[in-house]
Amino acid sequence: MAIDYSGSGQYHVTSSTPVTQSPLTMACWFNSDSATATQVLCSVAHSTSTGLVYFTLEAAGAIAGDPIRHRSRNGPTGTVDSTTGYTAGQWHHACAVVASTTSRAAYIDGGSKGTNSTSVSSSSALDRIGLGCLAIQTATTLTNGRIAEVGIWNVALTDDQVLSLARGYSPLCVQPQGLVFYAPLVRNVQDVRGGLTLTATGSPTVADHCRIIYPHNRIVVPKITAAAGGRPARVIGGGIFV
Amino acid sequence: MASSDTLAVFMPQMNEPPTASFATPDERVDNNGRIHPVLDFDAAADEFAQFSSVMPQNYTAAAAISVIVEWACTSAISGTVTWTAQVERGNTDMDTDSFAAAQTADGTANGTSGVTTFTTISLTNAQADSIAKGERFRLLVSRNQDSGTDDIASDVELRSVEIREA
Repeated sequence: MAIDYSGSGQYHVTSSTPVTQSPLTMACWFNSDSATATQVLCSVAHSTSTGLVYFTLEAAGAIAGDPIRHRSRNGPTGTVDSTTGYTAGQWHHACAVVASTTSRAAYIDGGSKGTNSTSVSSSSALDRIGLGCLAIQTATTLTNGRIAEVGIWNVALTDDQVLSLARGYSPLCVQPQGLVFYAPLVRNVQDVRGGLTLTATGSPTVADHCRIIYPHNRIVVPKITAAAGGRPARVIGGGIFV
Repeated sequence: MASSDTLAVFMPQMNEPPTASFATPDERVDNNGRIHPVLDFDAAADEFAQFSSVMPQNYTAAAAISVIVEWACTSAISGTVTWTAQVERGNTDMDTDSFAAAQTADGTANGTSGVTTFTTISLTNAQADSIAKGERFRLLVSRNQDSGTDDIASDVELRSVEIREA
């Protein structure tokens, strides 16, 4: 069950952020109800700023071609769009990779990579994460549609790693040592990686989740072997997790 | 392997979802906030979950198997669900779907929506694509919502799947 935002008065924010500068990667699945409005799917922003400092991952429906857009802003703005766009009512994977203050990229469905090299310096003022909104002082550019499997890494994922995410692998499967925020959004709204609390505004609802492949432990069913005296050995729990 | 012994167990997180018509991950949250991961199957369209494993070395040659689906309803407290199971041996071209024909079984919902029902789908070895010990296989589980028997109008939630030697 993904989280379904109405585009009006519904979003989630944290009270801190584990990343404030590049390198970083932001990714999620989304299923937008609108191909005409620009919607911020995920943001790292400054809660008392009126809009001058942030990183965003956007479904830019108001832009020709409806690309995935990333913006790095701290005074100047580095803006990059994927080279193809999304379709309303379908699940797509969105990703932004910020390798440095002069290198950033936007992807849709693991490809259509757009790049930008505008110099945008880092800011330590970034202090919260927004889901379904640009989490500046007054949350804005709200999402109208579903969001799921939001991950933020403190590293720049490679093109191949972004493709793995778009093929359906959970963020937990892709460079997990750099994954600092992960909200699956399967009904519950939790950062299961960093433990940040996500506070809801409005009452976002739940809807069908996206396709996703989670990491799992193999279950090996042990062979029952005879113990001394001819009685079967007892297997506790019916299986061994390895 | 003796009759009724477990050959494999699959939980919702082990799903390898198809690219379309996939069952969706969900959670059933108890009164203490602890979760049961489940896979939701729609009432309006056939949806699928897929699991892979290797048949244990102690599987008896050509033995029949039982695929036991543990499920509950999202909200319904009566009605029937039709489950299907299909097996594909891992001895064919990975680029070509070669699942054996679907086998089906009906299960009746519990009177409490959160109480699970165990529905057993029986497969001969031939119906299980003639799987043999040591072979990789895929198991495709689906809800056949338009079977004519399935009459629950809301989601049903798969909680586990067990394969036993019959």
